[in-house]
Amino acid sequence: MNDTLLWYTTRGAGAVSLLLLSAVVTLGVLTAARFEAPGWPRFVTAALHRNLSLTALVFLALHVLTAVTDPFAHLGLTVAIVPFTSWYRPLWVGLGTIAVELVVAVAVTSLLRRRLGHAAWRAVHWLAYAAWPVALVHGVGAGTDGTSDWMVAIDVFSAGAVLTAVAGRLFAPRPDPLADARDRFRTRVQREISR
Amino acid sequence: MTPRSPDARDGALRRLRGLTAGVAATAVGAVAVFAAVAAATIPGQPGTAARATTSTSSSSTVTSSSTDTSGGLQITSTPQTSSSSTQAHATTGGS
Repeated sequence: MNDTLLWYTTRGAGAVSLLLLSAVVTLGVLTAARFEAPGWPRFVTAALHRNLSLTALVFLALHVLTAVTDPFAHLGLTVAIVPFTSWYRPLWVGLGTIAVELVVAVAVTSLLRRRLGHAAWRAVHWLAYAAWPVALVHGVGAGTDGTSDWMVAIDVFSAGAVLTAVAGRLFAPRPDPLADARDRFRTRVQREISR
Repeated sequence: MTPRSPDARDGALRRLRGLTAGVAATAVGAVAVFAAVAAATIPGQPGTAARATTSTSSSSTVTSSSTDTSGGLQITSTPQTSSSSTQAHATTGGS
């Protein structure tokens, strides 16, 4: 395959991976916030979050594969596994490696959720909040198009979607009318246990 | 949780399947579109400063060759002519 075509595909797949990852994080936040609307039950948000996660993994794999097999870039497979070993912009490419590993960890633990238990799965799942900004910074620093207008627009759009969802989760009133009562009850039980 | 009818659930499932397929298809198309945009903005042809190593070596090659060329061209260019005429004038004045 033409190495220039591989290079273009790396850049295209990278942009799409970032968009999908942002959509996955946004849907994850909405799932945790128990979002639902008329014609949009809660299970649709959760299921779409799961389906898009797997789709994002496919495009992430395409991004990594085309990058490491590009004979011109000659990054090598090690770069995809061991962070900060790239000859080219080691810090920025290394952040991409870390982001991929975090995403893979989140995906694998989600597939093994029943075996791991909810607490362990939830602890690892929080890594998704770390993977997304690391991936965003990787795109800005390592990407050839990091400062191109179209890529900056994708970055701004992605950041806007995720930050809006996170802000909504943090500041919007909780949709579950019993959530506060449950929290109070849980706190009281924990206080009684700790006595 | 709002109770839902089986029809509403089936409709939501259909919407979910449609959305998943739509996003996957759009993502495939988007890779092609973004790759084309990337190619249009920074094509990375030899001599451009797009790809890391080549950009350095090729730009230095271009710089050095352009210096040589311009140096060669300057002999017949106007500034060189005026300079030599000045020099000739000075020589005449000295003698």
